[in-house]
Amino acid sequence: MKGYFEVAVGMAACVAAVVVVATRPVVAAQAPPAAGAVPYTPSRTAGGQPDLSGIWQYIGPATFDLEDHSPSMGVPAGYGVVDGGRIPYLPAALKQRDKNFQDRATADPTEAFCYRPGVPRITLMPFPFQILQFPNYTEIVYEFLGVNRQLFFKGQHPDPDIDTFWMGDSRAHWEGKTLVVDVANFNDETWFDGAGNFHSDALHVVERYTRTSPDIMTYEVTIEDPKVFSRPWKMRVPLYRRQEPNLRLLEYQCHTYMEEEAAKGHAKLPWSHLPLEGVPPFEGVPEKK
Amino acid sequence: MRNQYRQWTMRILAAIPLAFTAAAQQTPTQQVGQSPAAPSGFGQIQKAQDACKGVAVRHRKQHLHALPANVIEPPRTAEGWPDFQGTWSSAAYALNGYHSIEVGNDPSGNVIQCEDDSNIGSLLIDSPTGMIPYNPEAQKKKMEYLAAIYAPSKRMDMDTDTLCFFRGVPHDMTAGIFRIGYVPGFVVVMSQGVTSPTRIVPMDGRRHLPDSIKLMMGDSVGRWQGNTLVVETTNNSGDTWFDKHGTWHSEEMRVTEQWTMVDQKTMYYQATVDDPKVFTRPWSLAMTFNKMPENNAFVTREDACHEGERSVDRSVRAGQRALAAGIKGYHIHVNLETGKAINPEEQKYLDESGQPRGLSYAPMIK
Repeated sequence: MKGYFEVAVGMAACVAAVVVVATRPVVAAQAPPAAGAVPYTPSRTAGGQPDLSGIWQYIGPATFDLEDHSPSMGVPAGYGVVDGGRIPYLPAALKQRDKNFQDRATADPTEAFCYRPGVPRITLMPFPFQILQFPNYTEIVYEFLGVNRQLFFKGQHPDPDIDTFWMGDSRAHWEGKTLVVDVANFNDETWFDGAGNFHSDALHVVERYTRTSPDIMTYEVTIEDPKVFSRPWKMRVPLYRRQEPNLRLLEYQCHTYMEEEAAKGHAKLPWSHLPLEGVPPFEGVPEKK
Repeated sequence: MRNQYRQWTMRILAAIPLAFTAAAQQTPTQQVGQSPAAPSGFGQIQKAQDACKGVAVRHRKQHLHALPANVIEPPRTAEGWPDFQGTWSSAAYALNGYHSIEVGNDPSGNVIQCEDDSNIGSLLIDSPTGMIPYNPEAQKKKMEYLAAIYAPSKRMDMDTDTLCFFRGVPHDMTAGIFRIGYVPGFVVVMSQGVTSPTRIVPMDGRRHLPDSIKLMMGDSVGRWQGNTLVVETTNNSGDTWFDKHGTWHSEEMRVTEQWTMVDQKTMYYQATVDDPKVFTRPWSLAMTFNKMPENNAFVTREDACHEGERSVDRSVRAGQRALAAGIKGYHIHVNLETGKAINPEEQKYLDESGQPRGLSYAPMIK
């Protein structure tokens, strides 16, 4: 976990040119970038779409906690990114969120288990991602776990009784220069951040990607889940285009590293204490090789 | 999770009879569960031709062993790239090529796998034995991996694919269906399955990553050589295998892939692998990919391999039991009693109570 922060600080140095422009914290009720500025029109891809291609990354505290929060060990303080300040939990759900927060070191599905983070958390992970634009879909490939999302311009969400996904199912369209992505068919396994903010399988997310300058894209997300929240709510963060020449996505396969550390006896796998149905533990001493 | 393939694998593994000591490769010893008269060690296995006699060889799809003399002049994109874009199928390799790229004998003359009607056989095109040319030390390590797979006593005994590791290059190209797309400056290869991640190959002739960055998928840089896409992959970590049969390599490995369209529907793919620490010489494999119709909408179904995965723990518990009962062996695909190739449809490898015999999965060990 603290490794992420160090990574994030290192990455922040690489967007110094644009941090000057974009350091104003995005707090509820503040308008997006200055009125009177000339709206930016991105160039077009060969297929005629607004060009969002490139390697982008989120820098900021929302990785750790979407709401306003104090600093703590390994966690920078942060202005919240939620419109209205607080996520509008239903009372019982708020208790669950607080319990998640208490247990986060061992319960966070992504930080503790290296499970896929869902949407929008995948965008907020401190790793770059690359947007690739094809005629029938936009593909976003994330360095974190090599997650690959196809944002289809055609077709419908599948039946959620049959198909649920960690990363949901994404159907996209353009509204002017904004890529609007409707995401559904989630399972209930992911969190929104490292602070225990969570959802049910009724989650429905709408992402809006708008490039506002050559190196900045605003990422606005509407979240609704009637089983968990009393109303839909929004969050908004800037995304920064990585500036280094010849950058490429590398890898981050935390579950592989976890296996290797556990094999050396340096770590315990996070699920090893969970019961394994059908096969009793083996008490004898296995043959040494 | 790879349930479908795991069941197939378990049926195959279950068909291998009990009782074969891991040390028996060199030294004949008494086998547990076999009659005292049975020959010991791998010597009891017949040579490849005999063992596989009578098993039909039928390829589902065309499988080229070399680039044909006559290939088309492919269509070109506006930027002048040969146009390989679209959905391609490597389904012919998604069962066996992904499981084992070899067929034939190991240096001791033991049959590793036979061609049968579901198996293309060896993908290697420049090895007379169909085997990867490991040096003797590296071959020993490969056999250790095959013994570990047979009766795993710890998680890392399982093959890398079951552990949800990235497959690396060229193993990732046996995933079944993939799509090639172009964006400015990059060739993008998007495969099904989380262990075959999307490859974004720069075509601008950039240098490879610094040597101290090692990745499971390596670092791929591409270029056009006439109508052939040549992709060089370096910076490989030593964590991946070429298949599920312990076919390991070191961090020195380099891969050169060559992709050439034979006709509008056929792509010839060749990968040359070199690793001077592990192999006695470079070696090459080949596959033939078939174009899928464009209205066959390509969708990467989410493949959440690691999430909630517990089958490795099950296999380890079963393997520990097997080893404690003195059951050891190698994960290979021949009935050790008869020396014949194992046919997954064969039912005789069940015991009296109808359970698959042998092997290191707990429900089958009393």
